[in-house]
Amino acid sequence: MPEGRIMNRIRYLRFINGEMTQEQLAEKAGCTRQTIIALEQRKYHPSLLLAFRIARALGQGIEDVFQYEEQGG
Amino acid sequence: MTQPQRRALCTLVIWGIVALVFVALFLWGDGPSTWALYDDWRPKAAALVLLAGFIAFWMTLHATRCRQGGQDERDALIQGKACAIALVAVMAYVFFASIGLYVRYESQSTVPAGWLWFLAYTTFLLGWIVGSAASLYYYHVGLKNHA
Repeated sequence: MPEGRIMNRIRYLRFINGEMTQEQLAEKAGCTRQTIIALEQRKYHPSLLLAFRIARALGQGIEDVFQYEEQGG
Repeated sequence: MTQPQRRALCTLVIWGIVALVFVALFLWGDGPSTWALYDDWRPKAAALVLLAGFIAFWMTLHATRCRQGGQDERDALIQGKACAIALVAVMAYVFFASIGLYVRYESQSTVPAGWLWFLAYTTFLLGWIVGSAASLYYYHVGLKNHA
């Protein structure tokens, strides 16, 4: 199975959402600020449920926030 | 640093110190062969060290308790992974320590009872130490490829 990675545009989308803070987004999405930080640094892949909640908190569809990229084939 | 990270760090420090003192006490003098014999002072000292460890650990649990929403799926995932690693470490430790004792005392057909006491307590300590160290590791490097 080819390796894949999940990219995200959370930082950009926070910016265009009135410079929403990580704390505000975390509160809206029901997670901790450290999880938002880990997501922005691509140190964590969220569950599908959390991905939907973040996308909704940012007023976007899930694929506007998270993108799957295949690697190595 | 989040509350779960603080808790993991404090747990590592507390049980790490207890383990060091505990092993030093156990190996003091004649080591396991005279453990708890002839009014040995070492088990009493070890009991005091363990008691201090439990009190410090209880205070840590109290001081680092999370308010509602203070933990999320990432914390749960990291703690689950850390528990799995601790379990494997404890199983490996018990296996190799038991085999080691068997090989060491096979010819004498008896093992000093102190070793069993040592094995029991160090298993407990190792579980906490490895679990908290693994938590800190995953908090630091992140957790990417999970189901």
